[in-house]
Amino acid sequence: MKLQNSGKLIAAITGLFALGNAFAAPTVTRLNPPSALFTYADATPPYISRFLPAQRFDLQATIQADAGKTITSVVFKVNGSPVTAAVGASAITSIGGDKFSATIRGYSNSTAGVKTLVVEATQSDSLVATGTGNFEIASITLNAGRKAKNIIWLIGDGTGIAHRTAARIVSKGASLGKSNDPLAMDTLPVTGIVTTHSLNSIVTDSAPGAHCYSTGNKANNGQEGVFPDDTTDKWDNPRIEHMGSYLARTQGKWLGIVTTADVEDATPAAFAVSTQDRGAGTGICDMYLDEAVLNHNLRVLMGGGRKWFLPLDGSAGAGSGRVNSSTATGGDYVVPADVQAGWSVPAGSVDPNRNLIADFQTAGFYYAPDLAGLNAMTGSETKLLGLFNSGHMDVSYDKIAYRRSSTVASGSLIATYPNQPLLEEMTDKALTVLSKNANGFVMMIEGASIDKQAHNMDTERWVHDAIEFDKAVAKCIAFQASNPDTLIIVTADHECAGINIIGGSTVTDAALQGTAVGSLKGIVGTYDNAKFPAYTIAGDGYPTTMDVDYRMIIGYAGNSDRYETWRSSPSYNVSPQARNTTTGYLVTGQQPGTGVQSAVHTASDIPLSAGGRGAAAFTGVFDNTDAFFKAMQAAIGGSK
Amino acid sequence: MNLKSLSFVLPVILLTGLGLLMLAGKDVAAVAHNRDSDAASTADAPPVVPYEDSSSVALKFEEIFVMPAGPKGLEYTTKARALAGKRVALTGFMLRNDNIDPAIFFFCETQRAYNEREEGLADSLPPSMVQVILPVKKNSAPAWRQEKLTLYGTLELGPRQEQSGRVSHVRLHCDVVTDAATGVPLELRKPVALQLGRAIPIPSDLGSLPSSTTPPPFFNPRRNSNSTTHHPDKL
Repeated sequence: MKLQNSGKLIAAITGLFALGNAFAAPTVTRLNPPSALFTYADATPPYISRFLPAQRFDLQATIQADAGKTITSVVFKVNGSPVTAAVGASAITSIGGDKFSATIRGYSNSTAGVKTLVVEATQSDSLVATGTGNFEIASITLNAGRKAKNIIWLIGDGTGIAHRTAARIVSKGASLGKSNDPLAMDTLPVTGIVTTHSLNSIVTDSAPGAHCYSTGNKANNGQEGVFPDDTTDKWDNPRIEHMGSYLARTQGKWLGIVTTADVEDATPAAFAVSTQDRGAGTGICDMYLDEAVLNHNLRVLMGGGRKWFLPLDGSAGAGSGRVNSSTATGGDYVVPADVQAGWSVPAGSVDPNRNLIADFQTAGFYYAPDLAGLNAMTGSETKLLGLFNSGHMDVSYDKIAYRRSSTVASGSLIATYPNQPLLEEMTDKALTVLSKNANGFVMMIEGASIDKQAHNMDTERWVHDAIEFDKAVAKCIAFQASNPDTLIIVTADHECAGINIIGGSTVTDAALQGTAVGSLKGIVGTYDNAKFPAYTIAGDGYPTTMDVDYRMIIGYAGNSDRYETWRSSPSYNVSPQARNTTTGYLVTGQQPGTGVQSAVHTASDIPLSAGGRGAAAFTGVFDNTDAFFKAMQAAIGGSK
Repeated sequence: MNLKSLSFVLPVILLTGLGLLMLAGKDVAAVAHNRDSDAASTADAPPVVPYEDSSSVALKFEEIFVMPAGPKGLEYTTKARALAGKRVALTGFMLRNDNIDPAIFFFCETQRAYNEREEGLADSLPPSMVQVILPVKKNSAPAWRQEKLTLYGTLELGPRQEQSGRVSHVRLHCDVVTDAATGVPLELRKPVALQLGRAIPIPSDLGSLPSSTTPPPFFNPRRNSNSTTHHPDKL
């Protein structure tokens, strides 16, 4: 290249850079609520974000400023009208990398219809960035029918259609082509099919899988009560008002949360807490008291997870799980000033030595550490806290074995917490407390270990917990019979493990135990050879044994490696790769990596059954967020 | 190099690499054991003998906390308190998790499943789970082993917040790891680079929504699934 041409090239490049600078401009890279209009320039339905009339939610935008510049003002406009924030309920925050997050907290809109949301952000050099999205305010029809005074969500975590079928085969039996009896959930008159995708994946985890029922909106995996943002702070995400808060504020209802999991776990927390980290244990449990008791009328909280409620200094005994914010995971919470102002919530604090049990008691809660504690209730209690295990509660398979014969399963915490209630017993007490409110209640009851033991591919334990879950459903159906203005919704958050019933054993249990490892695959009877496995139910309502002759055989499509014997495991929560290594044969899984220890969630649709006031709407195939609006139609507008 | 020779050389390189990877992935202890076996025939190699430690006291997991628990926190047993600061022997299994820490692993009575991605710190792990602290070995970390182990070291009690976010209640400052069945000392620490079985931790925020810079109406990734031009820049 000649020198003169090189000079021209350099000049051209310099010119291009100059041109680039001239066109540099701030850009809006995120706009909340999420919308297809902003992300895909698609203004057509389905609208990603929908809200009830007057349901509160945050407006948020992330703006990428030019290098060295700042964002000096941000205006959000809904249908062309600027939104005015309440005093202190807005902020523009530098979040690094010349990015800024702008928020208006606690916005609401009472007029039904699709709204266009525009954000205009002005940079320090007066350049303006804009972004356009939309959201919908749902229409609630005022029907002549009665309203649902009480709403009960029963969530069998991970419970797909096959989990239900398996529970029915074991607990009710089938013969001559028909089920001998229905499950309690089968008796609910309306059934629908629910799609479960989360905001960022076709496969949801339990946080957005429950958040959708509590808020009517989508969330990213791992997040609950919030939309995603671009900050690392777990507690500053754009919030959406939960059903509990909305119904407490507008109708004076009470909220109950009952689970067999750690109460900090995703499903229970998604009904009352707002965080981008489902694992933020200490802060989540603090929020139950600081925010949910205050603003959601939370009156019942039961499950495991006592470790989060004990002070770290050991003053109430050892076993605390409380942490402060010095770790990478930063478990405790402090919310920014604009959240405090917009949502009328306290700031929170980093308090690893908080005695949260004592604080709940000070707030008027009756505390039950075990079944005896529940049974000692006088009946006059109006607030109930039950913490029955340090982490997740033990499963019904092991709880029942202990009740029957004092058998303590290896690996369980039964010896430490021997008197843990069953889900139906917890449900009973929760209904007693919540039904005291003349304005009604909303309650979430979760059968958590259907999912957890499906992950673990421990067939007997998840089937047993599905039966336990159905007994809780039966309690609610009995309650509804005497309280007809009650809506019962039985569903799941997602399917877990790709479970299906692939047949029945062709041999007796004695023969199965005597079968050589190399021949175990041969006992799987399919089609005609599956026949009708028969289980016997004991007086306590649970199977006398899961190891019957000619037993039901389960397959897993979302599996990791496991060793299969087709028999129950005497030990709880043993890794599928470590369980039965000498007595079972290796079934290789599809999950990547040898470190993967368990089966996974799937994107399969899930069944939903409903009964009671407003249940007729829960039919067809619909999105999980639709279930929220159907329930709220029943609560606000009444049934047809 | 022409294409023909490349087609010959490439597979050779790949196969060689694969072989090296497989060799690297082999259990270092197993390799060491084979070397020991080979060396046993020579006069120079020391014999592999079980570890003996008469100064340690055997402690069982169920002897750490009083059972059953009371209505609030757990209490250490008299035996556990008496052994705090002293040398103990503890038999159990390593917990398999994603944490690659140069010194620390978790130790339980049974071979537990721990679905870290799904459960985080809301788990079914027992409070008696012991946090084991090994001396740091450069560029190495404790590698999970399936077999039952007996550990020897100094017992430490009391709640302590760890950098992982977990609170530990029982810690063992361990200097000797043995195979519980044979008593033969083992080396748990392997180079991190060779720990091919580790699952890759997944962050809690799985990222952004897909979007496109291509303007409508010519392309709409929400409606045209055959597109290959997704760019996650608008959320």
